[in-house]
Amino acid sequence: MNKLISIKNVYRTYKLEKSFIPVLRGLDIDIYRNEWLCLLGASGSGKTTLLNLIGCLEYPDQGAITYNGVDVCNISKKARNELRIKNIGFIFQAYHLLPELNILENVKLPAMLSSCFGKKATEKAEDLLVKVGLKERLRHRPAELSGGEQQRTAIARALINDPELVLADEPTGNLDSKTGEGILEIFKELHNNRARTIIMVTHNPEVAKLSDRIAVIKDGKIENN
Amino acid sequence: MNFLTELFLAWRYFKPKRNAVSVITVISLIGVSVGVCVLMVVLAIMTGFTNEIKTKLISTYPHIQIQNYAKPYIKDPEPIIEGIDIMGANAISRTEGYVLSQFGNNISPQYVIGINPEQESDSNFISKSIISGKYSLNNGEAVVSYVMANQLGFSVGSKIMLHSPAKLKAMVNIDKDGKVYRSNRNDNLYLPSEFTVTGIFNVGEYKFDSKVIITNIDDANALFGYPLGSATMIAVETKDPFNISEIYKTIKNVFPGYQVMTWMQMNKQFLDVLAVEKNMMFFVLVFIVLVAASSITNTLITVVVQKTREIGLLMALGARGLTIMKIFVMQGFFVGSIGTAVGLVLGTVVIYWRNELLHFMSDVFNIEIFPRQFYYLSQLPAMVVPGDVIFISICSVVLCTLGALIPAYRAARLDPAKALRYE
Repeated sequence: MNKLISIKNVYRTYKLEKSFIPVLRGLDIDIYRNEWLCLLGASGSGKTTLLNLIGCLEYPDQGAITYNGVDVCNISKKARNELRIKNIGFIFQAYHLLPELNILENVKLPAMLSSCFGKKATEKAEDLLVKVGLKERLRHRPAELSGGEQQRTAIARALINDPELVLADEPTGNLDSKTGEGILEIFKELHNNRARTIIMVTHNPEVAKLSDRIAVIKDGKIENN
Repeated sequence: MNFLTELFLAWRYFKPKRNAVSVITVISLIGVSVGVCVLMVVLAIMTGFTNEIKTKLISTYPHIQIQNYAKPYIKDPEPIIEGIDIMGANAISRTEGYVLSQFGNNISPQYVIGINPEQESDSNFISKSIISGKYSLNNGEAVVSYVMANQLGFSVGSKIMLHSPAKLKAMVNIDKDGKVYRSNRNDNLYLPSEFTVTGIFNVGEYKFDSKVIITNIDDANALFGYPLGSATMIAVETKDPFNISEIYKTIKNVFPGYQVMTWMQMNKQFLDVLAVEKNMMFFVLVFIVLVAASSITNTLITVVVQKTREIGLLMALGARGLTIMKIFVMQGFFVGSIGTAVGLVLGTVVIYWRNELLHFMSDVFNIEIFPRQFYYLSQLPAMVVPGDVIFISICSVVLCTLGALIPAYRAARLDPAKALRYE
């Protein structure tokens, strides 16, 4: 299989007031192109930290993370930004939509940040919103949508720049089971028909079963891969 | 990074919504508007005052005066007057100096200006300022100010006496050692000159109104002991008194043996004080805008705290620190620009209705805010100078934009991962 991400001996410790909390302690994992990987683990086990490290939102204290063979820990901030804009789509448990923008503008936002501004971005955003079933809601503000609709908007936003990697942090965590199923259908479609690499953090073993591979994090390492 | 994206996000964040931050933003906007409005109104009134004062000075002082370096008088002023006429300006000869005036037993020092009525234009400022009697300056006649008339208690037709300093000087001699003694007892008896008051004037400039007596130049020469036909100075009246540098240089070059001074040089200290006063006013009042700018800093710090997770999200989506910084600096710019625009409109309205506002405030507080007898102006003067408006606007917008720098920098320095976790 074609390796997309390689994580070698990664350490990450957080400082909380005067105490140090080691979260990742020599974690190793390889992630392959077009695979759907689910990260399982107890609360505070370091799932989100690992996702942030893969998404170039923070740096490891020690160890190496390579993306397509490039060591992302030793490239400039600008290059990490470029990588995030072009190659990575983020989906969060709390959706994180900007309340000042309507959902069409929210979806367009990553395209606008990559200097794609105008009709092309609008058409693409509309197309994605239609695909996630929000055709009638384009001009609505996030506050006017249900949780499921907001998460579908967040998925559309994550896909606007055609990223090859989608990082999803408990995307169904705030949703009821029926709405969650609808969201998971979109992920299945993404994986099966659009060949995206998905790394999903979840607490739910049923959700994890849908993935190609499950990695359990315990004591700062991958316990079961 | 696309500038339009930054502009779009900054505008969306700025647009008021019904929350606490919007209220603070509106308060910041009001602060900037009030500051700019006050600055504009005060500077316009200061400029108006300065202009009024300059207009008064121009009407009471010669635009350019020519005096003799070597002697207290110019023996033959005619060639100089003709030369000035060729330059396209109007010139008249004058004899001026201090005298003691007496009416009954009341005595007061006064300044006599002796002029040649034949040389004067019909529209001279004193003839236009006569409030009682007429402007007539035949030999033995005088036109006096209303202040002097009130102080000494005379009116049109009264006889006043002027004590000549030359004749007073002749009464005493001073030897080499500085000892003062009476002059030759055989000299003729000294008597003051008698003048009939033909008119009383009020030009509206206190210094002039409180000191000046106008007489015929021949009478003035006799008072001061100068030859008939001479003058202590030649007063030049130009078409544009605010733009006299060219004619001033020409006069200096053509008449090198004479002292030539413009009205601005004669009143330099006073005009400098006015300019310094205006600058000080600007300096003091700009602090209002500075306070408004600091309220923008406070508002944006609140916005940054409130939007920490959104800032983290923008960074997670690929926004660079510089982009985040620009978004917040632009918000400061928006508050500054809109506040300044509103302030300019408010300022224009206040300046337009200033006299009505003044009367209203006088009525409400039952005090005369702008006493006419003190300022000699029936209305509050104001003059809006485009340069001042541009300067105020630039200062205000720049200060407000700078006020946004600290919160913008703070936003740009946020750690995206921490920001996304922020509760």
